[in-house]
Amino acid sequence: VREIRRVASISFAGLERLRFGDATDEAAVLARAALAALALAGDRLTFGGPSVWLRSGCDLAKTGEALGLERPGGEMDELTVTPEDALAAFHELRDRSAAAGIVMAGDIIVLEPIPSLAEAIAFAVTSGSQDAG
Amino acid sequence: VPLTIMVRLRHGRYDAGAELPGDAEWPPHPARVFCALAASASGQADWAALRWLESQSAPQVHADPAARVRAGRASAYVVENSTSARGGNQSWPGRTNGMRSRAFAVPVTDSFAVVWPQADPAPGVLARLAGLAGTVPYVGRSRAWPR
Repeated sequence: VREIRRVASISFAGLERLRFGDATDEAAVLARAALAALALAGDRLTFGGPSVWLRSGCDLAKTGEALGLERPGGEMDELTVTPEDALAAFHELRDRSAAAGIVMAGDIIVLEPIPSLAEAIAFAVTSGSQDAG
Repeated sequence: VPLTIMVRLRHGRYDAGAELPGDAEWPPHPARVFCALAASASGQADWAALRWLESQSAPQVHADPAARVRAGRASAYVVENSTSARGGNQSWPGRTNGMRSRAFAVPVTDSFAVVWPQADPAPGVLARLAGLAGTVPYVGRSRAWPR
């Protein structure tokens, strides 16, 4: 493999289909915007750095990146968004959405791997890459 | 006057099964586009516009010839309808996971068009159809995003 290209989109049309019961239109718009910001934050936190650790022994260096708002017809308004920008937008929109009547659940879900998976992860991040070659 | 709905495949991929589910559908069936429009409808005016569209004669499909289309398959675990006390899916408690393999098509041209050569919609109908087309998140399976 000489090149890996990742393409990801957040669909405003998809968000438009989400319904929020009897919430006001303003609250629904804020909730959709909060979800868009959350998705963007997830993308930026995962892929916003200079490199990506794909798996043990496979580090990817970024050679280029374009982030933007695609308009109908395909024109792209390029944007610069840091992970901090996206998180700040999400927090603000989540709070405004809550004030308008749609509250995002704040439960914390803790995921713990089964012992064999935990061992595999530990092996991969400590000694797995030494097997390369 | 022809009426054209142009579909640009956002990621260059059309994800839908043919009559044999293991085969990729190509060219795209006009019913996929109609169903996508119907899924975006939210009021009587939208439904009236769609009733007008379905009363038109059969449309043409303008798409890459099969020789310019690469077919592929993607496999992934998805949530199933069956239930189990042991569960298995992390998002749907009590539901099982199952491997599904689905076919898709990647044309050289990342777009196709559905054309009604002799349609002449009233301005209001045309505006409704344009509005519906602008709110379609996918055509075919949810992996095939138009723009």
